[in-house]
Amino acid sequence: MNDKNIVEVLLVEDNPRDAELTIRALKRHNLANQLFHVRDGAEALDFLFARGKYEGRPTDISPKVVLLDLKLPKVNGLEVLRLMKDDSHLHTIPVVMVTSSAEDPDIKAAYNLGANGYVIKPVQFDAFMEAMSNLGVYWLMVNHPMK
Amino acid sequence: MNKSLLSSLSGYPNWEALKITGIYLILGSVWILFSGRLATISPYKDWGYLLVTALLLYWLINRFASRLQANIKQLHLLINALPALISYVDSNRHYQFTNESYREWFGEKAQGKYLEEALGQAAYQKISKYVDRALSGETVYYETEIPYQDGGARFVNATYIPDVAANGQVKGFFALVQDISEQKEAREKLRQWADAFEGCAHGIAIDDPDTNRIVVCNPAFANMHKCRVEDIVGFSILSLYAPSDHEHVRANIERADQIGHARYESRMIRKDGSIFPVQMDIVSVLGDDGELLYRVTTSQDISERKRAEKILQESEERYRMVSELTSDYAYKDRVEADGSIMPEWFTESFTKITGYTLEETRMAGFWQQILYPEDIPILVSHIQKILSGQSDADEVRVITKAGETRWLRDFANPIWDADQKRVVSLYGAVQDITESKNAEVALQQSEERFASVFHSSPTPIALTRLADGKIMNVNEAFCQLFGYSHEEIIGHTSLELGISDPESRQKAVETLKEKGVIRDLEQKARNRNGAQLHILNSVETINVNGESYALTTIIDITERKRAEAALQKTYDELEIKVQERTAALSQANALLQALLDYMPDQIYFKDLRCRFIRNSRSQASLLGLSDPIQAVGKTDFDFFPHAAKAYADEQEVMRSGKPLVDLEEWVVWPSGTETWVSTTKVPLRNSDGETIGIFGISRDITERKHAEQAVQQLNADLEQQAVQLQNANKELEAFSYSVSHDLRAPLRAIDGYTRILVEDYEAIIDAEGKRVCSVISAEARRMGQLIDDLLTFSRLGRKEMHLSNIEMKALAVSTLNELISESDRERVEFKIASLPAVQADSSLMHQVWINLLSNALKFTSKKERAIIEVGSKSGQDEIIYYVHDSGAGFDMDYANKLFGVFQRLHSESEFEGTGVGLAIVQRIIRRHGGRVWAEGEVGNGATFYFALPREENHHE
Repeated sequence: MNDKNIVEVLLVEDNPRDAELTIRALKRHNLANQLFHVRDGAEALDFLFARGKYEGRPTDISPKVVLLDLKLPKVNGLEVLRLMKDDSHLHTIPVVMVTSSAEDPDIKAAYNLGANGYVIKPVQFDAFMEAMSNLGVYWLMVNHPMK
Repeated sequence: MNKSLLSSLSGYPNWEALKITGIYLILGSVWILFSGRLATISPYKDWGYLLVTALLLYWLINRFASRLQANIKQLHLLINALPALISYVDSNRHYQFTNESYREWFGEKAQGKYLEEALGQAAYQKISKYVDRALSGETVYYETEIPYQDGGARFVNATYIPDVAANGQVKGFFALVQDISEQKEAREKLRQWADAFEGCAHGIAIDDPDTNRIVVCNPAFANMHKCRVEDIVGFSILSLYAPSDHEHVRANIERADQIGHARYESRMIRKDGSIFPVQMDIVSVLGDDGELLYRVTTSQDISERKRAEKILQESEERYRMVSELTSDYAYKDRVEADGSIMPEWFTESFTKITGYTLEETRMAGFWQQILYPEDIPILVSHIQKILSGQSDADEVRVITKAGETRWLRDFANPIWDADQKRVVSLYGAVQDITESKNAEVALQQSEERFASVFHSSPTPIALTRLADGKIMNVNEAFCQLFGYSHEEIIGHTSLELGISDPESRQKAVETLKEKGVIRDLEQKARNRNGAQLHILNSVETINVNGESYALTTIIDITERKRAEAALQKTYDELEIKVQERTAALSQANALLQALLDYMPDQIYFKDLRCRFIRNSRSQASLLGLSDPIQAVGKTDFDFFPHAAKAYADEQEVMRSGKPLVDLEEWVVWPSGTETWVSTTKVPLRNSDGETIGIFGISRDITERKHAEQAVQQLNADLEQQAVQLQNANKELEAFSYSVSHDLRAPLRAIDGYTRILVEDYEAIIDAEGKRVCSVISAEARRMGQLIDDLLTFSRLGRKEMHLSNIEMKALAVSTLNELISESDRERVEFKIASLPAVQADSSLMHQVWINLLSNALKFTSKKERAIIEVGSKSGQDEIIYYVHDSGAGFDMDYANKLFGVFQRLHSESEFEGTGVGLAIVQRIIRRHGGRVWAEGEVGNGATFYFALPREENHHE
């Protein structure tokens, strides 16, 4: 479904249902073509840092956006965010927290670590779809990433 | 042959005649006896006898006569040879006979002349009384000066021998007059010599060289030996000397005999054995034949001299020491004709100061060498002045042999020789003034420092000439104090400048005259602007170059005076207060007594040894006494078995001065009562702050103690519960967190997948199927809403509140704008009154407004026209806000259920909602310390009230 070489969206989401819905939403707007899905924090890091099972991945072109859930197995979302923003190559990649948590501490922590956006997943499907597609449109079409 | 002479001799028995007569008688007798015999021999016997006797007679007479003649001639020669006047004056005062001497004396013989005529009137007057006496038969001796007319005045020795006849009549007198002028002179001289001899302070003794004994000595000599002249005369010379000196003396005597004179010192010994030193001069006097006539020894008791010599020696010794120690030296130089100066002598100090000896000074160029180069011109002009005859002093520097630079002050005096018309020598004294020069420099520096101190001192100082009162110098501070410049002040008196008050000044001047100093005299003064100043004046009289000046230092006490005046006023006010207080105090004492009598607390006063001084009735009764007075003088030990700790506590309090406050203890009183007491012990101090005892007050806190213990127990329980609650809270928090994540996700999936189902399989699902799917989605959404509401409700209970001043109307309006749509605006009339601000948490209040306003909108949504009102009312301690809507209203019977969680008074089909909104509102308002209630009528609207406390007083 995706060409490993060119990844425009990195989706880090452990819930397969939410993942499916998100991909469905993006697909609606033809934004899911270059989407790569990883299921936990560790895998996300391996992918981003081109290590582990992703060693050798060409890193010259970065994803246009990373959609990052907070609650993840192995390494949680905040940790992934921190490591990304600490890295000299990765910190320019926009990261949007996409999570169910509306807790203030989480929001605060994410922004403190340098998150570029924080979106709370609505329960309602319609709203969810709309939010996801807005996200996609903005980050993939509207936003001008760093080259 | 002189008849008179013969006749004058007739009176005396003539032994010659007798002798001759005797011889004649003998011859006659012999003739008589033997004449008869002779007759026979010759007839011519008688003629022979006659011849013999005639011859005898001739011989006798011849002899007698020639002898007589010879005698007379001798006498004549004698008489004329005698240098004296010999004369015979008759009773008529004629000179009957005068000898040759008269011719010598008067130029001619006076024979036949009257006395007066011969001698002169003056002389005759002198001698006439003697003449009279002689002519009266008296033998007269006299010595006098007679002014002879010829031959001048002579001192004469006259003897008049009266020639008395057999009948007693004085026929005349013989006069023998000797000119004893020379003799007199000689006698005078001799007396003088004798006086000199006698009176000479030196002892003179004359000894006979043959016997070596003292022939004569003068009183001084005898005095030296402390005896009389008679005691010395006749003693040997040597016996007068100390035995140890005899050799020495003998040697000197021999020397004197040889060379005529010897002088020596020796020691003489007195009769009493005491020895004294003498200086002897012996002169051995020789006669014309060179034989030693006598020795004249002049001796002098030189004890004094010896002592003086010793003193002098000591003095010289001292002088030597002094001159060695002193920094001065004296010198004498000789000035040659060519003007060169040769040093003659220096005292030793010169060497000490300069390190050079006298010889070294005589070397050429000496002074150029040792003089400090810059000072050479000074020396040159100094010398020029001196050589011109003037004394001069100068100060120059020299470099000593050791290389040190010293200042010398030379005062030189020339000695002018009038004949040579030049200075022939000069003498002088030189002082080493290095120290004083250094002192001078130091003084100068000191003066400079003084001057700088004078000028920079912050204290005003002035220097005034006493003679005319003019100010000579002032420092900056002075100028500033009075506001005048330096120039304006100098040369004027303080009166002229108007800075001193005439009366004060007069007083100061008088005090200064009397005592010479003024110390801190308070005076009034005026500055340039006329403002009055108060100053403290201190004045010293100093002498500069002979003139008297006053050195004044001023302290400006104007401020102080003002402060003093203010203070005095305060004191006066205080005085009044004190009097009031004193009255109050005695009242207070009465109250104290009342306190002690009626106060239930145990009060006591103890002294430094913890003995009771005074206590309250209540304590007295607890101690088992009927009257407080019985406790006086006793200690705790008299009442309690274990009083040591209390005693120690009290001693510590008194020692350290720190009170013991609220010490709680269990006391068993002597009266039997047992209580808990809270005791405070405070050191009792007198007015000087010294501890004089201790004051204690004990309160019965038995009940309180029990209460405290109960409270403590309660607190412990509460704490336990609080801990439990905290734990519960934490659990709840964790729970909520997981809920917010974990519960929502499945709901999302349910809704989502149902939609997928509908969308993707639209073709094969019928209307009923779609309806069923929509129900599933709706229910999933609802559950999500419920969860959100629950979470909100829960969070709001735990969230920290940050209070700030909330503008309620602005908040309500903005919240409303968030909630309403265009259609709402058309349909509903909004009336929002002005609302008072309140201290609250802004986000929470926002939530309140959201809930209340959204409720109002929701329950009026079915009405075509509706009103929503927001207002406030003022309560006693609270502000009441309300939201009124004209919507569906509710049944008042169930009002109490309105604010319960999940409680609804309408069905979901009527109005959607989870029933949490109002519970949230209630929770928030309660957290703010307020309250909520509502009023309503079915079908006729509802009003929801919430009240918040005024100002602070929030509690969670």
